[in-house]
Order: sequence, then C-alpha cells, then structure tokens
Amino acid sequence: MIPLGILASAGAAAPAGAFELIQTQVISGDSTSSVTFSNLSGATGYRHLQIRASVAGTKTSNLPDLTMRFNGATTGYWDHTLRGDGSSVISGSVVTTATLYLGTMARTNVDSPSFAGHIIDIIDAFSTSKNKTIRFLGGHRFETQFIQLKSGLWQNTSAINSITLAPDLANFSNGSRFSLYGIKG
Amino acid sequence: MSSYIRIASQTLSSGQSSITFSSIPATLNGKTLRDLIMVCAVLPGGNDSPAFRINDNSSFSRVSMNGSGSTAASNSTADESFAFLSFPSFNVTTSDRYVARIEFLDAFATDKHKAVLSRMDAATVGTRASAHRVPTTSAISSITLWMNSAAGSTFSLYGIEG
Repeated sequence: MIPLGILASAGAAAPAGAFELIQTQVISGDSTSSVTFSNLSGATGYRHLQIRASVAGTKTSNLPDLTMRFNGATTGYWDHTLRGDGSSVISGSVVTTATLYLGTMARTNVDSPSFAGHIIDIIDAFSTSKNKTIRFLGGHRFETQFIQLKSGLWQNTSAINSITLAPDLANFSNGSRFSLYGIKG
Repeated sequence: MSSYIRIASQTLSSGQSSITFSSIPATLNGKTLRDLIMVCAVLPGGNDSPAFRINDNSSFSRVSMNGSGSTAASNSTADESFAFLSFPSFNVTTSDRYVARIEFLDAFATDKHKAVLSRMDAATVGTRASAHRVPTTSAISSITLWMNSAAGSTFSLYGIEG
C-alpha cells in the first residue's frame, strides 16, 4: 500500500470561477421551516447551479421529504423518481404539482447524529428560453434508509432568481446544511 | 478561485490492491473545505468487490440500488467492515472497466456521522447508487480505496469549499 497523501499535485484548482461557492446556510435550532437563496439574478455569470446539502427534519413519523420551489412559484413542477429502500426499487412520477419533491431527509428523533446527503443540480438555471431541469441524487442509511435518483422539471422559462427549500411538514433540524454553488459553462 | 479544488491525484504505474489518501487537509489555498469527492477510473487487476474505508473505520452501513440491464434491485446492510461500492456478489473482473464517484458530505464535521453518496458504473456489470453511513463524528483524515487496480488506473481527490 502506497500512501498518496497530498504530494505533488496538492492545491491544483479548476479554472478560476468555474465552480464557486455562492452561499452556505446552516440551520440553528429546530424552528426553521424553510431556507431561501435569493437575488440570484446577480449570479448570471454562471450557467448551472448545484446545491449540496446534509439534511434532517423534525418530523417524527413517516418520511419527511425535502421540497423546492423557484421564484416563489406554486405551479408547474414535475418529477420522475427511482428509489431503493433496501428491499425493493420503486419508480414513480408526479405531474404539475405545486412544489418539487426531492429526496427524503433523515429524522432527528431516530437518526441523530446522522443526516441525509442530497446533491441537486439545476441545469441552465438562468436560461430564458428553456424550462428548468433538475437532477437529484440523495440517500441515507440509518433508521431511515433510502437511495434515490430523481429528474425534476419546472415548466417555466424564467431565469431563476430565488430557490426555496422546505421540509414537507415539520421543520429543518439543527445542523442541517445547504450550500449553493454556481457553475460556469 | 474555484471552490472545487484538487487535493491529490495519481495514475498507477503498476498494479495495487489498495490506494490511500492520507493527511487530508481541512483547509487548502485559504479555503475551508466542507465536502470531499473521490473520482476513480479503474482497470481491474483481478476479480474484485470495490470498497472504501475512512480513517480505518471498520463499521459501515449502506443502502444500494442496482441496475444490471435486466433487473433492478435494492439491498441494505448494517455494520459491514467495508463500505462496498457494489453488491459483493457482483464482482467486477479483469475484462471490466469501471468508474466510481464517491461524495463525502460534511467530511470534516465533528458533530455528524459521515454521510457518503456513491455511484459506480461498469458497462459490463451494471450501474449502482449507494448511500453509506459511517458512524463516526471524527473529521475525515484518510480514505483507503480497496480496489484491485492495474497500471493506468487513476484516482483523484477533490475538496469542495463550503
């Protein structure tokens, strides 16, 4: 076994500004019902957006989902899901709903100190000629367990100016984290 | 400067059964890192069940979803000694080529178990996605990949500012 450590090529970065942190929000306490990234019209130097998150909710029964809306819109969300729960694979879809359902979050009452991992890609987020496509990979393995791939659609050609993330019922748990990145293209 | 920073990379000049990235920094180029991403492009050196460990932990839980081209399946495990990227029964062989992308979220948090998402894709075997939990609140300082890899295999570790 040869330890690679961080020799030689340590610190090499992607081209300046290619993938940049815009903002991180970390939840304090258990009373936050939503997180919003706003004023994104100033981020139009980017083409795509990515949200990286570790999430848990205060919901104690059933499975809490993370939801997302753009520009405060309450219409035009579609999705297809492929989900494994440890024993079976489930596929589903939702058409023209009021919010985009992403992946299941961990539940603090049974999963602490474990959080679900979510990675959300928003492709061509600032295009004014395309509906918005979302890719999701997320999962968690503790009392709550799942692995999920999702394709989402916001049927709207507006540039994204705000993104609101919220748990499906209940609140985000203390320590949940959401980091938004801009990707140039 | 980009928030996606290469920490280390290696192209093997000869076969190895495992590869370790050690002394992983929590800050680099003046940036505080939050996540880690490992990207592997592997030429298998033999039949193998690719897996990883962090910090020499030996307890991992996993839930996976797999497509083989004819069936889709999901399974889960608790308290495995390795974090397998594929079902142990789906061994890759020397005729396979596979890529793996492993995302370590909140890699340096000292108040959270480690949440890891992985994708493994081998054209002759299948495609897999897994969620792993490592029951440690220690910051990740080393990652060992247990991949029986031939010369030419590449491994790259990136840090994500957060």
